[in-house]
Amino acid sequence: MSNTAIKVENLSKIYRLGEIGTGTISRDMERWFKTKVLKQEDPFLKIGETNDRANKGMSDIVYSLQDINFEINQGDAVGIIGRNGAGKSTLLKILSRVTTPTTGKINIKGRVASLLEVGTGFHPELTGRENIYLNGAILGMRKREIDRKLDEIIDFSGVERYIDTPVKRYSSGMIARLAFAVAIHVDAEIILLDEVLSVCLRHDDVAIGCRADDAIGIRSS
Amino acid sequence: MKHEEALKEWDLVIEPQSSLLQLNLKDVWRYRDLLWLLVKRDFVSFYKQTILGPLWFFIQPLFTTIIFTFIFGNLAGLSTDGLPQPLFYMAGITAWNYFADCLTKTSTVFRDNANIFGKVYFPRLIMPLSIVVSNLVRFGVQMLLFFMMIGYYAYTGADFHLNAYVLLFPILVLLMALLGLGLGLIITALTTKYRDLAFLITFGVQLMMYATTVIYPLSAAPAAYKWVIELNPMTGIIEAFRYGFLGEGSLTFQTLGYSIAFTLIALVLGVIIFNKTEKTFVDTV
Repeated sequence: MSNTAIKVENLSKIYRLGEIGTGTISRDMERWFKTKVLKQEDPFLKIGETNDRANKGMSDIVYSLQDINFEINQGDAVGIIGRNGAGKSTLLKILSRVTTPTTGKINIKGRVASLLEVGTGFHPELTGRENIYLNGAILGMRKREIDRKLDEIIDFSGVERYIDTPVKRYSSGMIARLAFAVAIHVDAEIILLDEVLSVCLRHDDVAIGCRADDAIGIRSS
Repeated sequence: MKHEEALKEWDLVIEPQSSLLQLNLKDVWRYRDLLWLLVKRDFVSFYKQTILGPLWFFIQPLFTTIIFTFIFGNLAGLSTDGLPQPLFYMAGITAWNYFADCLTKTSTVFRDNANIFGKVYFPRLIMPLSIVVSNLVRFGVQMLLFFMMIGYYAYTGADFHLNAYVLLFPILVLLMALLGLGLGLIITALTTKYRDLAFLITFGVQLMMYATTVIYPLSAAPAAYKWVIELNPMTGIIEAFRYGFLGEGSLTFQTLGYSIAFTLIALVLGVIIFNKTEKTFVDTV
């Protein structure tokens, strides 16, 4: 048994620039006709260009990711660094199954928790406690699991006093803390973080450091 | 199957295309707690900061019934097959509303939830399912109102007959839910890229009510247009609904069978298209 946790092979993702409008439907048909009827290679992949946001290009199809290959072992903490628009978030989106790659293959071993943004799905009218359950479930926790960890989560968030108040009355920092507290309690072998840590770290650094030990983290910021 | 082999060694394999029928229903089951929490969210957030709270569920069908009784019953003088008018309209409205709510809400599920869907993965099917179930709660409350009216009219000795066909009720509810869900899924999947259909649905559902036997019985429909009304899968369901509770309506196995077949096809098609769209809709919505 190898101890590879994430294996990425030939991963590419193309995006189309500009607006989606009437021009797109003819292109869709062209693409469908060439790939499905004539069994040709996807024409968009050929005219795709490297993603360079600063220069004007010839085509409106760009590669956000092009032929990415890498492996991450269990226990690794990996950071991805790059300029704006380099494809960091796209990679994390594909890894967390929010969108699919255009080509390539990813194998993953272990449960994935992706925190592309903290507080996804928070409902302003619900109380902090209700939102812990909702957000926890969105991140893939079972209700039992949340029941068990509720005290710990509230404790970690440091907003115990407000826990039965609708979150629309919270300060933005309090919402971020609560959301982060839920996210960090998801039991997962692999944690994907995208710019989430920019929000709410002050004296909590220690606690997060400890938890990240037993996880592989991919971080982009 | 290569995919299955790879899954033995790995917990998760992400590939660009997967087969149309790979629906991940197991995944949906694993997230069932999320379904209940979403239903609870819809219900709780609906009546927060209101005085009447869940009573608002009653007010809409009640007022619609009053208006329909006045306009279609008294002014236009449409037949109700000899049933007390409020009872006739209430039956139609309650059933129709459930279907229409399921359809309109699920038909915008991708657009409404683009934010969540773009940030975190969970089986997307959970969202439309939660809509159907939340509407079921609302429908249940409205049925209570309908039962109260039945009680009242039974007490005053009005002419209607509750009969054994009322046992079809759970099947009819399931049919309405699945039909709304199936059509909604198809529409939401088709409108992620081209939004034209979304405009159609808002007034289309309103107009479709007139092509369904909500404000008139099928027996009163002009013979020339009857087949159009019968083509509408909701007609069979509402007629059966009314027949069971009130004893008037055209319940035949053909019309109901047609509704069932239509529902199943719409549902299967809807789930497949939805499943295919969910993978990349984040890029185009």
